[in-house]
Amino acid sequence: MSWEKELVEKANEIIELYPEKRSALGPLLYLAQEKDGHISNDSIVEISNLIGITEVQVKSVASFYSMYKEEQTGKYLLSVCKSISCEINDSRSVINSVKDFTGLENYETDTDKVFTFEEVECIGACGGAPAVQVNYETVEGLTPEKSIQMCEWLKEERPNVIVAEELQDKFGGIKSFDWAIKDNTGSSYSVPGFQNIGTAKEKSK
Amino acid sequence: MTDQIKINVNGSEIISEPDQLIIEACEDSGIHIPRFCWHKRMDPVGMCRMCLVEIETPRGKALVPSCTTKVSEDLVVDTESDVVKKAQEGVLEFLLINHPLDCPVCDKAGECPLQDQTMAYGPGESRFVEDKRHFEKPIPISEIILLDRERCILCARCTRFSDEISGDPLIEFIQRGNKTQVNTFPDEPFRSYFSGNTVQICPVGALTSSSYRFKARPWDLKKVSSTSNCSSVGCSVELNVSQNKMLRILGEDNEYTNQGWLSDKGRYNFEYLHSEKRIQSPLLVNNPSKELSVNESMEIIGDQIHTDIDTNISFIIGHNSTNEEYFALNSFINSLNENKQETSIQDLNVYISDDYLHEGYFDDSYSLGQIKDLDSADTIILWSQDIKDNLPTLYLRIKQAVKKGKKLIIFGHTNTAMKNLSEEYFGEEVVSKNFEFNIEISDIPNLSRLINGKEVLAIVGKSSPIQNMEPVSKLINHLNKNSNLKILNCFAKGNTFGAFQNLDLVKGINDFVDEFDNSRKNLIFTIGSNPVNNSVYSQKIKNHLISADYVVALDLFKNETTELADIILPTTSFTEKEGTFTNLEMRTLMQNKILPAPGLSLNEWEYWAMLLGKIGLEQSYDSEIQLNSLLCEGYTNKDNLPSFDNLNKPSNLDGIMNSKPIKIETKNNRLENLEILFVHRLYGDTSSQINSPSISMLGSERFIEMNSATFYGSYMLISNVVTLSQDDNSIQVNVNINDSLPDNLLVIPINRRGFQNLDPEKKVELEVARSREQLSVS
Repeated sequence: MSWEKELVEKANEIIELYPEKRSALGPLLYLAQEKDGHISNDSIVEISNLIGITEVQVKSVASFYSMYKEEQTGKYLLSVCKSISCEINDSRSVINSVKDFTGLENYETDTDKVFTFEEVECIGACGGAPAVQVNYETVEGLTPEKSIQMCEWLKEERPNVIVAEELQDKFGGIKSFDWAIKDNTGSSYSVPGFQNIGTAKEKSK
Repeated sequence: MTDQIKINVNGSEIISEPDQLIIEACEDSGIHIPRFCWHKRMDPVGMCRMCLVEIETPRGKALVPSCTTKVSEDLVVDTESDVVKKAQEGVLEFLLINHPLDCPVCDKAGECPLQDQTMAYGPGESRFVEDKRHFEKPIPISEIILLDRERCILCARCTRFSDEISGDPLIEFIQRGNKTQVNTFPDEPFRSYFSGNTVQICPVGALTSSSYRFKARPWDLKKVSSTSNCSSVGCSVELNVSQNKMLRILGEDNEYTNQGWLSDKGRYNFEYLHSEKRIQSPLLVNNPSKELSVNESMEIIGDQIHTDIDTNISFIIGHNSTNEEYFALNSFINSLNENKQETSIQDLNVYISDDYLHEGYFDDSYSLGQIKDLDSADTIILWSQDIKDNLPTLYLRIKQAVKKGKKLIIFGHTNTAMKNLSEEYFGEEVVSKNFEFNIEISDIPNLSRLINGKEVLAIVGKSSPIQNMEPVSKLINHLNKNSNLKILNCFAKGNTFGAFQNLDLVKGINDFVDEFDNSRKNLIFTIGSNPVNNSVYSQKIKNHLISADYVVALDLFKNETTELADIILPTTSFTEKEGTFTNLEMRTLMQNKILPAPGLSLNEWEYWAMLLGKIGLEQSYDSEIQLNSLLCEGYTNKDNLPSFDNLNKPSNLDGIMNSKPIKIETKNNRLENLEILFVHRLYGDTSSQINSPSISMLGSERFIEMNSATFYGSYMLISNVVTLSQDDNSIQVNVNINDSLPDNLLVIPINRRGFQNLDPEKKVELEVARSREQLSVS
C-alpha cells in the first residue's frame, strides 16, 4: 500500500462519479502525479487495484499522454508555447530567456527539483501570445524580461500554490479576454487545478 | 435468418451474409485481401491498413479498410485497382521503415506474412535511408515468450488476444508515436495460460517462444494434423516435426472445439517425447541392468496371469491411450473373463486414475450437449472443477459465449477465476464449503428467472475429489424439469471419454482403494497413470501397490507409481501412435502418428495382443485399423462411424459425433466437513511436464489459496510464506489471497509435489516461516 488512507478515500470518491470504475483512470493518474510529481510504478499498482484493470493497461494510458509525466518534475513546470501565434509574437526569445535562466533543455529538470522546462504546442491563449504556463496556470503577453522576472520570483518566493490571476497581474501583458469570474484557485504541482477532483488549491492570503 | 446479399468484387458477383465484413465476405468467396491485424476470431481494429480496398460510394470511389467496413446490397468493391495497389505499396513501405531486415536469423522467415506480402504486394524498393528505430532485442516477457520490439509492426493482435480472448491483458502498447511498443508492466510478466497463442498469431517474428527459437526453418518441417490430449476438449493441433524431432505444436481452427486456440500446456508440453529419461526397453525395476527383450517380458507377465492361484487383476488406466488401445484392453479383459477357469482369475476390474470420477449424467433421461451449444443457449450453468485450469480452451469458449450475452451461473467455489464473467455466482450463501446446498433450490435468488423455459447448458462434474454428488443431481433434475436442458459431463482429462466408450465398465480410483483384497493374489497393471503422485488417495494406493503381488506398469517414464512396479513396459505417446480420441461432447477426432516409437516401445494394444498369445488365447486384430473397424461396430449411429477412413475425409476433419453406451460405477463419497479443497492446476509435476525443460518450472511453485478473513483472522498470518503442517507432514508454501473463497477453506493443488499426503477433512496448521532457509520456497 503506497497510498495513504486519505488519498485512497479521495480516489474512491472520484471512482464513484463514474458508472464504470475504469473511467476514473484519468483523474486518478492526476492524483498520482500530484503525490509524486510523476506517475510512479507504485501508484500504477495502486490504481490498477482500485479500478480493476491490469497494471500494464494503466501504464499504457499513463505513457500515452504527455501531461502524465514519467519522470519526476520540478516544483514548477514551465510550459512555454511554441505554436504559431506565439511564434509570430516572438515566443522564441521567451523560450530562449527561460532556457538561459534555468539552464535547462526541453523536458529537463534541474538538480534542485525547482524547475522543469518544456516547449509545448498551443495552450489556447493565442489572443495573448506569447503565453507560458506554470503548473498549467496560464500567463499571457509575456516578454523575455518579464519571463525572467517571473522565474526569479518563483525561485525566491517559492509559492506553494500558483494562481494564474496573480501571475498575470505581476508579470503578464496583453490578455486574450476577461473571463469575468474571479478564480482564486490554482495548482500546487505539475497537475492542472481541477475543482472536481480536488487538485485545485486555494491560495492562502 | 435474413437473406443473403449480393456484392460485386472485381467485376464478378459474390454472395455474402448480411453484416459480414468485406474482408470476410471476400475470404469466403476465395478472394484474398492482404492483412496483418485482422483475425477472424477477434474484433477488427483497422490498425495496419494493409487491407485497403476501393469501394464505390455516392461521392465516388473511396479507399476503405475492408476489415472495418461491412458489406451492403450491391456494394461494388475493387481489391486490385491501381489505387489499391499504390496504397498497399505505401503501407508496406511504411511498415518496413522500422522493421529490421534480419530475416536470415528470424524464426518467422519462410512463414512470415510480412515477408510474403512484401513479396506479393510490396514496392520492391525503399526510399528510406535513415536509421531504423532500435530497441533492446529480444526481451523475455515471461518464462516461455520472448519479445523483439524492433520487429513489431503494431498490429495489436497479441494485445487484443490477451484482452478479448484470454481476458488477462498483461501486455499492452506503451508510449506513443515513434516510441510505441508492446510491453509488460515491470515485475508483472506475461504469465497467461494462453500466451503461446500470441506467438502463433503474430504476423512477424516479434513474439517467439523459447522452445522453438532457432530450432528449425518452416520449409524443413513435416506437418500433420492431430488432436491434443491435454484436456478432454480435444483441441485440433498441427504437429511440426523435423528430423524425427517434435519442434512445435500449433493450434488448428476447429469450429466446434478450440477455434484455433490452445493452452500453453497443450502447445508446449511435448519436449518430454525426446527426453533422455524415456524408458526405451522393458525394465525390471529391481534389476534395471538386466537387458530384457519384449518377448521375455511378455513371458514373465504371462506367467503371472496364468497361474493356479486365485488372482485378482486390476487395471489402473490413465487418459492418454487412444480409443483403439482402450478397446484392445477391453477385449483383453473379455478374453480373460471367458477363460477364467483355466487361468484361476477371479475378478477383473478397470479403475480410471481420476479423482474427479463420478457416474455422470449419460442415461436417456438427459440430453447431452455440445460445446457449440454455448453459443445458442440462454443460460450456462457451471458446477465442476476449475475450468480454466483443467479445460482451458473450454474456458475460452465460455468467455466468448458470455461476451455474446449468454448468462453464466456458477455454483460452488472452484471457478473463482470466472466470477467476473458470471451473471450469478452462488458461493457460500447457496453452496456450502463441502458442496451441499445451504438453501432449497427453489429459493435460490434469480435462478428461476434465468432458467425457466430457457435453453440451458449445464457443465457439471465433481468440484472436489471427495464430494457428495446428490446436490448436483438434484440441481440437474430441477433444471431438467424447468428448462430445456442439455448437459456437458465434465471429466477434464485427455481421452477419458474414449475410455468410457470403449471399456464395458469403468470404476473410480477410490473404488480401487476400497475393493483391494489382500487375501487374494493381486496383479495390477498401471497404464499411463500415476495415481501415487496426484490423488487424494495417494498414500493408500501406494500401500496397495507395495502389497500387491505383481505390478506391471505401462508408461513412458519412471515415476512415483512405476518405481513401485515390478516390471515397466515402455509405451508410445501421443504423436507416436495412430488412433482416435473422443472429446467431452463425444466428438471423435483423429490422432495421427508422425514420430517413430523410441527404442523398443510398443503401443499398448500390441502388448495386450502379445499377452493373449502368451497365455494361449486368440486375438482378432493385428493393427490399429482392424481395432478401429472392430470398435466402430459398437456405435449407436451406424451411418456416420468415426473410422479412420471417415475421419480422414476433408469434410470430417472437425470430427464425428457418435455415441456408445457408457457405464461408470463409483461410490458416492461424501464427507461431513471439508477443510481442504484439492484442485488440479494446469501446470503440475506430471512426468511429461517435468521432462519438458521449457515448461518444467511452471508447475514448481507451491502455493495455496484462502480468503483474507482466513488469512488475517483464523490464521493471523503476517507473511505470505508459511509452513503448512498436518500431523507429521509439513511443507513450505506461498499463500495467495482469493476473496471469492468461503471462510476457513484452503485451496491446495493436488498435482504439485508435497501435497498428496494431506487429509481433506482435517484442519491444517499454518505458521509463518521465520528462518532464512524456511523462506526459500521452491
